[in-house]
Amino acid sequence: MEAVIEQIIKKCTYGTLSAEERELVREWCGTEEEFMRMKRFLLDVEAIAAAGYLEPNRAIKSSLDTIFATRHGGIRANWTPPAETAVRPVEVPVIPMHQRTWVRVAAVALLLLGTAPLWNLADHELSKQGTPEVAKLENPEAKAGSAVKPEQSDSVSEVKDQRDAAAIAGNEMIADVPARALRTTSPDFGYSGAYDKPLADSLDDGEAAMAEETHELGRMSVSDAPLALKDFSAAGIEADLHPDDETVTLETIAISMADQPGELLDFIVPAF
Amino acid sequence: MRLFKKEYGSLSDEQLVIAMAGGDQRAFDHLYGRYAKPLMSYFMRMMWKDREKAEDFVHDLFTKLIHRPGLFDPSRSFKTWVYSVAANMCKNEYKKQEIRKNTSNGLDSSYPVSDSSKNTLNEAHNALFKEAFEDQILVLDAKHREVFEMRHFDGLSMKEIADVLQISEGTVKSRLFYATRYLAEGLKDFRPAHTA
Repeated sequence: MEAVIEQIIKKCTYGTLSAEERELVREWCGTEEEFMRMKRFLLDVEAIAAAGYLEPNRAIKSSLDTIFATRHGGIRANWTPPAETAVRPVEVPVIPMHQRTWVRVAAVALLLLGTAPLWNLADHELSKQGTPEVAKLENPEAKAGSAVKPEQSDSVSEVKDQRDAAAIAGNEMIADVPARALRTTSPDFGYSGAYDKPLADSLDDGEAAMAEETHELGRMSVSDAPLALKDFSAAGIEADLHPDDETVTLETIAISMADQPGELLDFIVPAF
Repeated sequence: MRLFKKEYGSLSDEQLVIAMAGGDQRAFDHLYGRYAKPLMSYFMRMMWKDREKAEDFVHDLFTKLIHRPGLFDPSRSFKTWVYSVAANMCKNEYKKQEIRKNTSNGLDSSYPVSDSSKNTLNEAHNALFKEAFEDQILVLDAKHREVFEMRHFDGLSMKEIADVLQISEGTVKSRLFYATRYLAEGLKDFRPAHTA
């Protein structure tokens, strides 16, 4: 507001002021005489100010340039020489190799290409694991207590094919014993790899021998429907071994008596 | 990699300070070009027309800016900040000296008084008015004189003066009004031979 008042006083004459302008300047100069006096004063002050600023000595700028160069040493990318040094070639800024864009792009590409084989290997490993529900077929050559071999996964897929074939033929031995049916007090009795685990760790001594025998029997006749036989045998054995254990339940056991009834009878172990 | 040359003249003071803090020499050159003369004139007025002392203060102020650019808050106006620093430097100097120099008894040869038209009559008028003005403004107390000089000689707005002196705008307005009325009244008997 004060700037507006000053401009009105400097630029205008008292007679040309509008009512609003006179109201604005009334506080500064109520009469025409005061208006003219203020006008002259402000113009004279403006003249003094317009005479120009004082310029510092050039040595001050030189000293400050030296201080600046000391503070920010080295080649500055944005620095260009003054006009008087234009005859000399402009210094090209030195950029380190590792800061160049193409080097960085090449390094990233190299890393990606170098790790590409590892991607395929990871996918291959995942495909080998298969589904956990499929029972692993024991390797006939494998010894008791031995660790589960990786090649059992191939046997499992083979058994699955065999089971499918038996179902179609109608002469199947189905042992539909879900994993939960095998939940017993014996923690080591699992659905897969049961025959490879030392059953004696979880069973009584008397039962251990029987379990071992049936364990051996379970290894036989694995050609046609070995998975079903083993499942039935394992569940049946467990049920017989723990007749009072209510946690053991056999949901569905369908046995075809058409094939090898004699062998089937061998698996029926009396509970007493 | 820059494709276009930076136009330093179009950058604001705050942008120049940021660039200068990053080591941009040209940004510092532009900043110095903008504020060296006004600050020199300011220190000349505040330091009893002592040119050497005024140049030392200009050098010290810019040295402080080079070494510690973080003292400036980019959210603030650089103009008000630099004048605040200059005002504080003068106050500290006053405390050291604790005296007030009586300076101009005559025309200061180092202070340019001629206008661009080089009219001899105007030059004489301006010189005489300047002398009378300096005598009159010395009678004014420091707080009113400071506001008046910042407004008319440093070109600061009311808000900028309030920020520099850490006072309200209303106080700035009242002090400016009082100083203007007092000086105009005191110089009413000075009748110039030529009025622009």
